[in-house]
Amino acid sequence: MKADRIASVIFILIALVFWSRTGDLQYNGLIFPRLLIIFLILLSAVMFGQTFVTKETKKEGFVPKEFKYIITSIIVVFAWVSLLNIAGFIVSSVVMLTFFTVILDLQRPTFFRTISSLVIYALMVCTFWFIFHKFLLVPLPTGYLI
Amino acid sequence: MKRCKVMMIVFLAALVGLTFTTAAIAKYPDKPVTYVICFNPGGESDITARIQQQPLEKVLGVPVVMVYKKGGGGAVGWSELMRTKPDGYTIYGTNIPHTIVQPMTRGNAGYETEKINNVYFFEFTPDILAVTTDSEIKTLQDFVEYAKKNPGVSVGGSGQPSANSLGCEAFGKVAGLKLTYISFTGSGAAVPALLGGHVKALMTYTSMAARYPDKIRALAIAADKRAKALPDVPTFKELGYEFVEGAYRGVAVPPGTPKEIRQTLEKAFEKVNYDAEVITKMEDLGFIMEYYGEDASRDLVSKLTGYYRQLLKELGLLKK
Amino acid sequence: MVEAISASFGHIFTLKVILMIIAGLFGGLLSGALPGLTATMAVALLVPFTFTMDPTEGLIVLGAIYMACIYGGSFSAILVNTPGTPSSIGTTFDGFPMAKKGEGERAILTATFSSAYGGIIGVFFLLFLSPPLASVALKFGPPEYFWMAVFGITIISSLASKNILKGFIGGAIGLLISTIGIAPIGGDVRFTAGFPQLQGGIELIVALIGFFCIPEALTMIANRMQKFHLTETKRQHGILLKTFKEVMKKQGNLLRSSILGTLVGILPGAGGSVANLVAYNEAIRVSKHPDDFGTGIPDGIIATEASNNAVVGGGMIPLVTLGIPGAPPDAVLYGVLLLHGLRPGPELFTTHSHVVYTFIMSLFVATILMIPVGVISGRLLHRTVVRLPIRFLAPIIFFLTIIGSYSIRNNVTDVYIMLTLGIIGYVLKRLDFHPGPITLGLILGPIGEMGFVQAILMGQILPNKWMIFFNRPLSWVLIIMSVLSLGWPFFMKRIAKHWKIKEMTIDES
Repeated sequence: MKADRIASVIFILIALVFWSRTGDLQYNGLIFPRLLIIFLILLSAVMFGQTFVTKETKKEGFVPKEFKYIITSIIVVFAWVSLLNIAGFIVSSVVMLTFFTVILDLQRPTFFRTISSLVIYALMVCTFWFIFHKFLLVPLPTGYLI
Repeated sequence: MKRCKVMMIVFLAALVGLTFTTAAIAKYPDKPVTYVICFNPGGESDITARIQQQPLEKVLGVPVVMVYKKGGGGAVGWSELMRTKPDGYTIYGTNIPHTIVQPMTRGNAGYETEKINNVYFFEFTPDILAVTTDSEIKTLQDFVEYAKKNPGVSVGGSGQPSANSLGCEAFGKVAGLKLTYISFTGSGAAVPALLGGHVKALMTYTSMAARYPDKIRALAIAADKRAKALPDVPTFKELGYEFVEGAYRGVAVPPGTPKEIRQTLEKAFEKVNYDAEVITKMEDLGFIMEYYGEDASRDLVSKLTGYYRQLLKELGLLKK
Repeated sequence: MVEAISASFGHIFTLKVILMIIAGLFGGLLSGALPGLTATMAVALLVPFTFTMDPTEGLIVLGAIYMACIYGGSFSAILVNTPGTPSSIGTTFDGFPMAKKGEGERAILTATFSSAYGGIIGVFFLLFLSPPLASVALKFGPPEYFWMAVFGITIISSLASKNILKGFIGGAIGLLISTIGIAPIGGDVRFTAGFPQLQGGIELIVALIGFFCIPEALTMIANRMQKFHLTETKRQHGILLKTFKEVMKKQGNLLRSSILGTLVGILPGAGGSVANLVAYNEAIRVSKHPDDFGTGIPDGIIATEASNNAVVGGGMIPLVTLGIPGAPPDAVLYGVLLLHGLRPGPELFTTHSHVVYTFIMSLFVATILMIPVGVISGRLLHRTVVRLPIRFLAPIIFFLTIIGSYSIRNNVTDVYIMLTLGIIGYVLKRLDFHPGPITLGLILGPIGEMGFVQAILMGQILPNKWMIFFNRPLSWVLIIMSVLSLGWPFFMKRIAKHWKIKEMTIDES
């Protein structure tokens, strides 16, 4: 419930930020957003009020178990995307996929498992690259390497 | 003796370097060229590009791949044009007045009009004022009288600001009428609105009249001369209204593209534009062929920039 | 008409054409299952390949791709909670829970049969009822589109029946996000915080992948599970026939959803994304056990998949009668027709009747062939996803989401947006905000805003400009539907109580 309370306040704040950005719009451009912002503020206020009225039900906390795995995954994926324009599609994907798999391994990562993952991914990514880039001519991110 | 050796090496290096660069350019193009359309597939920019696709492949000798980057009325694509590698393997379709009007009316469109390096403008689609075929308005004069009796009459069109919306304002000024322009996401959305009776008239493009000849009656065309696809439609000028407006379509390359590549592309598009099949298909669909080379394009853009700047200032839409 | 139809069969039932259809079906299935590749893009990608074919054959292939693509969206919706196309958003609501319970194969088979059914109904309407239906489409003007968007938003009260307030807040957030970019009227730049890439707003697919897929992927990582879904303990023989019988029993749901899909498809500007959610809503409303929806029952999948494939046929109705595309892929088909010198419209039926009828009949054939193609691919895909350990599955899912969000506009920014929305979606999921209402807001925002502002402009000539929303009969139909839709849950509870009291008194006496 406390999480709901914080969330409703955040929503109201975000709505106000949006409102402040409607200053220099023409009439036609601002009516709809403004109506929506009012709607959102009203609903969030109701939600805020509700948190005081309804009883606390026992639920699992907002912070999940194994939180560090989530944070690590997010960092890995963001790094992966930033790498795309530098190292190119194939190289960054193969490297990051393998890295990701090793991190997530439930057992202890051994040399064999790492290398086998690398090989599988290299094959997979190259196949994708061939189908999409060479055959269908869909552009994929390019970098300094492939 | 030593100095002679050094000179020899420098001379050879320069020679090798020169051959490499000229070889690289002389070989252009040797891999597929990407033709970026900054709008939806199925739209008019897509259709004109598709008409050009096969002849272009023949002239350039390499495959031409269409890629779509829509958003912001084309602005998302054109802002990426600024950052694309200037090696001639990615060309962007450009449109006037979008590329002129967007930087003027938006704080940050992501690009500047002058930085867009147009190599060719190949077609012009004039505005037309249209009503349904079963409307009581039969000529432009009927419309003007109707509009005088009913100020604020609804005129639909595609986009805002666009050739349709600015054309509507310009015509309103010239004829002394108060028109309410209602913008739709595209001509494909504006036409059903007219047919369903939700708007009284459309300030749309000739291509719409060519597509729906039995449903739309074009009252006048905003060009210097009549269009081949609509031979019976008089120009605004003939009827006494000094009003010319429409959209140009062309291609551009990223800033910093070498001159040889630009010239190759310019010649290629010119050749495609003289292709008989291309001409027939384009004119059937209501497009008017134009042949602006690179320098002529630059002049066209600066002339129109001045015109639109004035118009936008009067409408109070100028941001910079 | 009959001679044209029988003549077309001669064209279609040749080995070459059948093979082309099957190839198109596989291609469409693949692009549908990959989140990020939409039907429009798949059709557009393959247009150049059709230049070398004659127009009829080209259209046949593109039609097959389109039909299979909409169906293929259900695969990723069921297996990884990501709508492969916006038309399969509703399939995640019941499809994914079914997969998690270990009924993934049953879900995929249900989706297969429902999609085929819906596809056939849509094409049936296309063949026999095009002209009258098309004229209805024209009556929808800006006020009607606005009320239709309002009706769409009221669906939230059924979708989020467990916590309506959070559902509507989600909807409001989705609507607000949809306003980022260029204002539809006036062309103002809104809420882009100085980033020119945001001028195009948030792409729907990017948001879909972010809100639906990433939270699930992060959850499976966090829970340190070994495998993703419960595997069926034994191979179920005869599941194909059993599921077929099960699905066919629900004729009411199938027929209603297909008709709804066709009708929504006729409206230019509304497509499968709206249709599947409207059909889902209606299925809940008339159901005797509405609370089961969302826990993993086939009825939900039947409603969404039948309606979205009906949109394929429905969207072509205005295309072939009026020359106005009913859905974005139809615009591409329109372009193809124009390029070949065929002008869509009533003349097409007379001057090039063989092209039109062959194309329409080929859609029937493609839809039926879709069943075996889908069953084979779907089963294969399902077995792969179920067997793969999380340490492979999660990275691969991220890999596909990156390709998917990049390929929409060839822009790395979209990938970053997708990831950011993914994190936000994960946070919202933990706060009990379901992604469905948010995406509904995203879809309906542009439609609603455009209708709203255009209608106000139309109303300028009236004494009171707001009356434009209330002085048209079609608007009132939609207003009444919205009120009913909004109040239905409360209304039903009242009636249920009333009947319960009556039963009790009867028992007592």
